[in-house]
Amino acid sequence: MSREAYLKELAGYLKKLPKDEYQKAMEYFEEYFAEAGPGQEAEAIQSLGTPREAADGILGEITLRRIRSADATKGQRFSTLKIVLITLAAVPTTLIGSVLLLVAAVTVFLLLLTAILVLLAFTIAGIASAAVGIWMLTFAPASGIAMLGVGLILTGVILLLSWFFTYVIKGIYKPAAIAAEKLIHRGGHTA
Amino acid sequence: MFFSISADMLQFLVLSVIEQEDSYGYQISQRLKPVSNAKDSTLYPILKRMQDEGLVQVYDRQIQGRNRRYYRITGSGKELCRQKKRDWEAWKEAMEQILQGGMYI
Repeated sequence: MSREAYLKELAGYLKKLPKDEYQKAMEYFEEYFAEAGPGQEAEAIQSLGTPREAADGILGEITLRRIRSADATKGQRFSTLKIVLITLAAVPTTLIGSVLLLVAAVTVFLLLLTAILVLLAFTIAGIASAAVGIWMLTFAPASGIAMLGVGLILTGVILLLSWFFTYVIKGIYKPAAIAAEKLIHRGGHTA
Repeated sequence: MFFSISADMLQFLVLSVIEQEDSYGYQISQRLKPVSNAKDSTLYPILKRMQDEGLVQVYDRQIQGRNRRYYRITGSGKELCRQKKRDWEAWKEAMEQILQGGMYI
């Protein structure tokens, strides 16, 4: 790798920084190469570490500083978010892909669990209402019929919900599977 | 063989280097080589932070038609350096007591 290639790659990682920060950082590395001397490019690069490592150090320090300064105005906070996002964007896609996959998997699992619990609650309520209704028929027929009605309504709700949940889960599953495959595929290419 | 050096220690070393004489990035890196195997790119964020904390100041000087950015220690930088040197003496003594035998309980 030549000095030009090194500086170009580093500039690519840093270009979204505020102009002043970007300028000063680039000047530092240009000066470093100039001090090392024209014949010493390989040694200089060996000593510096990769452009990726250099950029991570700079972005990390700037992110930390922004977070540390407690009296950040709203504008600066937005800027911090931006820098955090830039730093995140620099993380290998495999890592982001894995994290996204994990989050998606946990979300789908929690949705399923919620659906099952809701159905279970309605089933219990339905059975209880119907049973109480039948029992009440013997001494308070009007109320008993009403309770039985509640039980039947709940049964109807359960059937509707089951259909709805099946529909939703099917709807989530297919796009999720496609997205997961894409992420894994893309990660595999960059790794 | 290198003992690993923390960012804090690196800052102390940089302060000590420029306390003796104003210096520039490449030269500071070379001075730290004998004790640290950290990549030289890590020095820039440290210098940047020290600048933000008011421990060092920068000024530019023209050398052979190009710019060289010098780092100079400030008053609070000197104060911190003195304090760190006291801490270092105490630490070094405690280290040696352990390394040379447990006679000082």
